[in-house]
Order: sequence, then structure tokens, then C-alpha cells
Amino acid sequence: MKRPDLVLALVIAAGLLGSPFYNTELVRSQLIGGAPVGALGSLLVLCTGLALAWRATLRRGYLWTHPATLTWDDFDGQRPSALTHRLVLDWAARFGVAAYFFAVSGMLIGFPSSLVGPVVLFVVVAALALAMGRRRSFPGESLLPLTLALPLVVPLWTYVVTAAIAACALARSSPLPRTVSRDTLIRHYTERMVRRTSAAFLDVWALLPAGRPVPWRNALAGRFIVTRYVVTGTLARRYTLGLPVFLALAVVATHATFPAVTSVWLLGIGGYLGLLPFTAPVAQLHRVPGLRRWLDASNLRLHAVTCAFLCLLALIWAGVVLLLGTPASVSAVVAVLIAALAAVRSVTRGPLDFSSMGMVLYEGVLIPAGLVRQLVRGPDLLVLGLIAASFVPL
Amino acid sequence: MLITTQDLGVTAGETELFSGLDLAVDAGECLVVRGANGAGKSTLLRCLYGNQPPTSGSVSVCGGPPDERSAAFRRRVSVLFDDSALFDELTPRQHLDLLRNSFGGELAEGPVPAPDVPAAELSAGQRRRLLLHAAVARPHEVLLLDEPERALDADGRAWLSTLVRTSTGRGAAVVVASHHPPLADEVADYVVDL
Repeated sequence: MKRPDLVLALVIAAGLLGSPFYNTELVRSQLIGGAPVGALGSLLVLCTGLALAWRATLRRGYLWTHPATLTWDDFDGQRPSALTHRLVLDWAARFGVAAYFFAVSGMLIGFPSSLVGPVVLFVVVAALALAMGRRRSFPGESLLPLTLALPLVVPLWTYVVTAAIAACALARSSPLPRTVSRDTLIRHYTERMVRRTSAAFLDVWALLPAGRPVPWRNALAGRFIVTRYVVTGTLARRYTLGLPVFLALAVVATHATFPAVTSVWLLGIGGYLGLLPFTAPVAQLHRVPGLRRWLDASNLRLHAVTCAFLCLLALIWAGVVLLLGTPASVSAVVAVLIAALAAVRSVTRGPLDFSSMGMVLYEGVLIPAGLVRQLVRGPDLLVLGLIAASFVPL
Repeated sequence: MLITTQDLGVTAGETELFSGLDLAVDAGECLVVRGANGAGKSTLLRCLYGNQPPTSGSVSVCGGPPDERSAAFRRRVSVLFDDSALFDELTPRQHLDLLRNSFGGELAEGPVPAPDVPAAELSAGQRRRLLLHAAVARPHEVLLLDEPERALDADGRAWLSTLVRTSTGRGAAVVVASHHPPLADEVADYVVDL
């Protein structure tokens, strides 16, 4: 990006991000409207933001090094400091975003009567996340951020003291930047490159989670083999179930804080992101011809079964979100179904076939309807579907 | 004839891999293709499966042009290529369950390697055995095997000959690209040197 473009982008971003602070009434009317907001509103936003930032830190995305750099750093011993520096930067950015959203919610809804408790909670949770992020992971740790729902129901100081003790205990353990192996760093570097390429080309394939062994020996023995394959592939990725749980809580918290934001968009986007990992079984059949040969089913049947199964998962997810307090409507249900279809479309769109343009004559103009249909990606389908669900009365 | 080629040729860049190839393989026959590395053995098999458009000539497999994208074609032609893959999260038993309940084929004789170990943990030879089991278990009129002996031990190579003979015995046309001379001696009705 050229310097003038960068300056323009920064000015626009600063204007948009700063608008809740200098144009508070207008933003409040857009996000909250006339709906009453509970006294816990900004604390809810704080806890949600902290949970998401904590969970992101636990992914330990800082543990990578370019193989060439790694070679030189191994000689002069800069590797631990470089990794720690990256960890701190990532951590600061995530918790900075959480702090920003807390400040915005405070401006729009009102801060709690005393800021001491929330600020101490912020500092302690940030310290705990940093302490955990710099040490080796342990089973089930990714669920710990869910405990941030507790400050809403138990005394805040009880949670703060417990978290502070845990942070102090973890601070003494051996730091991962010193002990992590060279192989791990290179493997993470490769995975990072694949993810970045995937993001650059708006292709979710490389972002999908790998499967883990399925302990049920007879999972694929019996009739309805396509359904069995889709369900087994989903069960192989059961370890990603935390994501839809987090997203459900984030949707509920966002709706509770900003009730003027239509639930169609919250449920649609949340459902899409939550379901995307479970499209991996059908995605891998599309991308790897050698795997496709294991299953004798037409693409139509495979897509139909996957869509049906993901729609079922979407309805269960939406049911949980609606039970937690998001207002139910036909549009909201339609939104999650659109999200399921868009998720499948995201991983099954094939290469363009210019021999099937599907030309249609409409009011004297030739429209390549077939080509337009091929061009529609999953996110496009999601946005178009949610716009329709927002405006069409259901 | 299940497989016929007429004047078949493939050029890679400015290098001519092969040209003027006329082949005819009927049901129950086995053709072994031999040649040095880079001679075009795998390319020829990909032509027969529709993965590689020939530079010249024509190919007919099961009475028509080969096309892997067609489900009907995949039901008649089974392959073991370099791109053959396993689901890392599934065990050999689950792989073969998937195959049997999908295609309805019969499992070949011979032990299934480590039936309850996830494929990601199998050795190269075990993976090869599982892929061979799969290639033969799929119902097929034509079987294309690209260097199937790779990573197999002595027992595995002997078992491979049995697999090929079983397949031809059931009336399939088999084409094998191989660097393993004893395999050609044991199973080939015809041999082509590229």
C-alpha cells in the first residue's frame, strides 16, 4: 500500500473506531436503539472480550520461525527473546482490542458504578493468559476462558483472587520459547504459510481442521454410508466444538449489549464461522482425488447429505443461542440455515467451467447466468442470503 | 477390447515421452509397462484414466474416452496411482468398511495391515498394502496400477502377483507400470518397454 493510501486508510479507521467516543448518541441509536440495557452490559462485553483474547493467546501462534532465520538465531541465542517479543506483541494486541470494546460499551451503555473491579479483572486475566501462553499446553485448557462467565454470577473478587493465584503459580514454570523444538517451530511456520496463502486467496481449505482418530470401530460399517461418512468426519473434528460454544456465547453477549443489531446477522455470521470446521469431510473429498475414490456417491448426493447434516447442527446451535436469550424469529432460523449452506458452498465450489456459461436472454440482454452461479462463493452466498433474510418479511 | 489406444503420443515440453503407441488389452489380460525413470509409464496410465490429455492419438477405456470425473467411469475402472491417499484419522478397518459399504466390492485375500491403527501411524509398506486392498476391492473391469511394488517387502510382492492374477481371473483388464522384473515374469500377458 502506498503512503497516501495508508494515511487515508488510517484516517478512515480512526474516524470509524473513534466515533463511539465523539459521536456517542448517533452510534448508540444505531446499536442499542430504545431498548433497555441491563446494568451488567459493559461487564458482559468485558468478559466476552477477555475470553476471546485469552483463547486466542492459548493457540500459541507465536511459536514459529523462518527456517533460515532459525539457523542464525540458533547460533547467537536470540530465539527465546524473539519468540517472547512476538508473544507479548500478539498478547498486547488481543487484549488491546478487548479493552477497546470495553471502552466502547462503557461509552454507549455506561460503565459499572466502580471501575476498580473490572480493571483488576482485566489485568489479572491478561496476566494469566500471558503466563499460560508462554508455557506448555495441557489438556482441556482451551475451555478455561469459559470460566469468565463466572464473574457475572459469583463475587468478582473471588474470581480475581483465584485467577491471580493461578497466574503466579504458572509464572514460575519453564518458558516455552526456551524449550520448544526446532521441528515444532518449522512445522508451525509451514502451517502459518499455508494459512496465510489460504487467507490471501480467500480459500478456506487450508484453514479447516485435520481429523483425529475416531474410536468407534464400526463407525463406517452399515447402510447409509454417505451419512455415516459425513457424521464420522464431523466426529473426527469433535475437538473443535469449543469454537461454536464460544461463538454462541459471543452472539448472546453481543445481542444483550447491542440489541438494535438484528439477530439475523449475528446468528448468520456466528453460525457460518461455527459450522465451517465441520465442512472438512466434504472439502477433503473435493480437494484430494485419491480420497474421492473411497466413496462411490455423486457430488449431488454428497452435497445434499452434508447440507442436511450441517443444517441439523445449525438448528441445534441456533436453539442453544435462542434459549440463552436471543429473540427467536423465522428470519433467525432461516439465517442459520443459510449459514450452513454457505459453509458447504465455501468448500465445494469447483473451478470455473467456461463451456457452461448458461446464457439467458433477459429484456434483450444476454446474461451468463451459469457463469454467475459458478462465481458465487460461500461468503457471497452468506451475505446475499442474510440481506434477503433481513429485508424479506417472514 | 476393454482398453485400446491408437497412435497415442504425449510430449512434455519439448521432450517426446512416447508416440505412435497402439495398445489393445482385453478382459482377463495383463499388460506390464516397463521403462526407465521419466520414460512415461505413469503418464501412460494417467492417459488411460483421463487425467492426462494425450498430445496425439486417441484412447478408449471400457468403450469410451476415459474421464475420472464421471461416477460411472469410476465404478468400472479402479486405480492405484501416486495420488492415492488415505484418511489419516481412519483405521484400515474403517477404510475398508467405507469402501465395501459404498461400492459393495469383495475384499481380496491377504492380511489387512494393523486393522485398528489410524492410517497416520501406518508405515509406508502398510499404507501401500491398504491401498492395494482398496484398488482390488473396488468393483472394476479395468485395473491400473502404477509401481504397486513400491515399499512392499518380499511377502508383499508375492501377494501383489496373486492380487493381479485374481483380478485377471475375474475378467478384468490390468495394466501395471513396474520396475520389478519378477512381477512382469509372473503376471504379464504382454510387456511394453517405453
